[in-house]
Amino acid sequence: MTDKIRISNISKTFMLLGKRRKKALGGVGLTIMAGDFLVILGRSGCGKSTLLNIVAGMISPTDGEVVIDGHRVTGPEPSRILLTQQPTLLPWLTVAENVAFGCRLRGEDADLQDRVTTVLERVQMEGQGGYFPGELSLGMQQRVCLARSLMGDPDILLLDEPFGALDTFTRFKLHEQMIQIRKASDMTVIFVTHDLDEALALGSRVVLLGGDPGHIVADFPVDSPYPRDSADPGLRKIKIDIMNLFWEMGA
Amino acid sequence: MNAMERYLKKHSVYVKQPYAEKMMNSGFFMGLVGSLFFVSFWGVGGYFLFTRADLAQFQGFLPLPTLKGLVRLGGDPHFWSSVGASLFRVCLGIIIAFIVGFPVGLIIGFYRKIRALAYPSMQFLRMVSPLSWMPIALLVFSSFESAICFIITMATIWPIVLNTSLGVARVNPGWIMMARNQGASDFQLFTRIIIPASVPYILTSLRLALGVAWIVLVPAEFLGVSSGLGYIINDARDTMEYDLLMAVVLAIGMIGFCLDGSIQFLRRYLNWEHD
Repeated sequence: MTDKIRISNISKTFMLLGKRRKKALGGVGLTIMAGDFLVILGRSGCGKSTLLNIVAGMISPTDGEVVIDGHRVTGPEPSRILLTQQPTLLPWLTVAENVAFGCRLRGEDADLQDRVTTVLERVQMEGQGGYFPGELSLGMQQRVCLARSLMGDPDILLLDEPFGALDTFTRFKLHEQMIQIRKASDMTVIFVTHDLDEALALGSRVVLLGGDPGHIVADFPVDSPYPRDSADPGLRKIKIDIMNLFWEMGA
Repeated sequence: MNAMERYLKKHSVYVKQPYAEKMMNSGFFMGLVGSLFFVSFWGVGGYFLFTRADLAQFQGFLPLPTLKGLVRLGGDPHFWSSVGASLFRVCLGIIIAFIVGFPVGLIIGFYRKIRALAYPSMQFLRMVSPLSWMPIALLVFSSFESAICFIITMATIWPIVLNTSLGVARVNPGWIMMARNQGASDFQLFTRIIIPASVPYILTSLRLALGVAWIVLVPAEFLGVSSGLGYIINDARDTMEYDLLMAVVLAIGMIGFCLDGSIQFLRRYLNWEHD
């Protein structure tokens, strides 16, 4: 595998009210291989989403740089799709129109209807293209967002706690779908979560982010085959190691 | 129908909503009752007031003479041409206000710095009564028609600018981020996200503008024109035909009500928020 994303010494300081400053990230360095399913794990407020937004090009770092395929990230791009925790479906468009939204923007109209149907099947939303987002549950809306993200065949999928607001059963279902989607493509995924079980169920590599300002605390490769059994001794060992690290950090 | 549904249909008791309760829940019925109450108040109050010897000349303001006057107006072609003239002025004023106000509202709503720059002047101009532009309008414009149109435009531009800018400023930032991520240009951001997202606010702005325009129209039509509902009111006052005057007031209210209803109808079809 080759280097896909190189994150070099990233720092980010936010300006707050009253000229106060908050350093969210301090010197984060990470190399992600093509085809990796990297999970960034950490407590709320540790800078996970900030790091993901920097990789997405939505915000720029105070120091350091992100290089993807040899090119420095300067802004958002359709080849690098960010999926947020709250669904961002456009309420005036139907599910099918929402899924086709990005392709229509870019003028990629060839076989659009067929592609929409295929991608909706991939997220198990077949036959629901005529509904409006307001008529769907949160889980279904998030699946449509995932379908929209997959439409342009992005190289990199950036997922910012996408299943955080969903119930356990819907999350399990979406985990299965994520695994299927990952098997069917060679895209690189960065998945941000604060849920240890979710991280171990999905990631081929789990990176622990912590401290103030946020930095990489530990990096665990996860080799267990999918679908994963939580009783797997390898997974249990990683889980215990991560829990111990959390306690050491003063959780 | 599955077994459970069949069972429920067979065994559940259908509770019929009492007729009186059904009527109380009907918006149309309640509106009708309210209107009847209003007319009764007008009749009773008017009777006590205008049967006094010193005010007997104003008996034309009572409901019955007014209704007779309304029937008389309905058969008068001059009344209908005046309605047409008034509607034309209102529509033209709002169209001009929309052509100017809508892009201004979009820009002010989207660019924070421009909003900060324009806000004080806008608030100042907004607070100036549209009718106080009358003398200036008469000086600047060569025809009364243009002056009336200017006054209506000045009255309606502010609700359009302010509501459109409010709509733009309140667009979900997640939608903008998503569109940028999908490769939207600035132009696409406006046409695919910001304008459709602001539609509920734009429709509200048009509703407010229509209300304001209809209010400003009558005093504006006091300016030397020879047609329009404001002109008929002025004329009826001069000829002391108070039944006709009141009938025109009633007609203005009715037409305004219908215009508002038409915007509400439009909102029902164009507004995505009802979902």
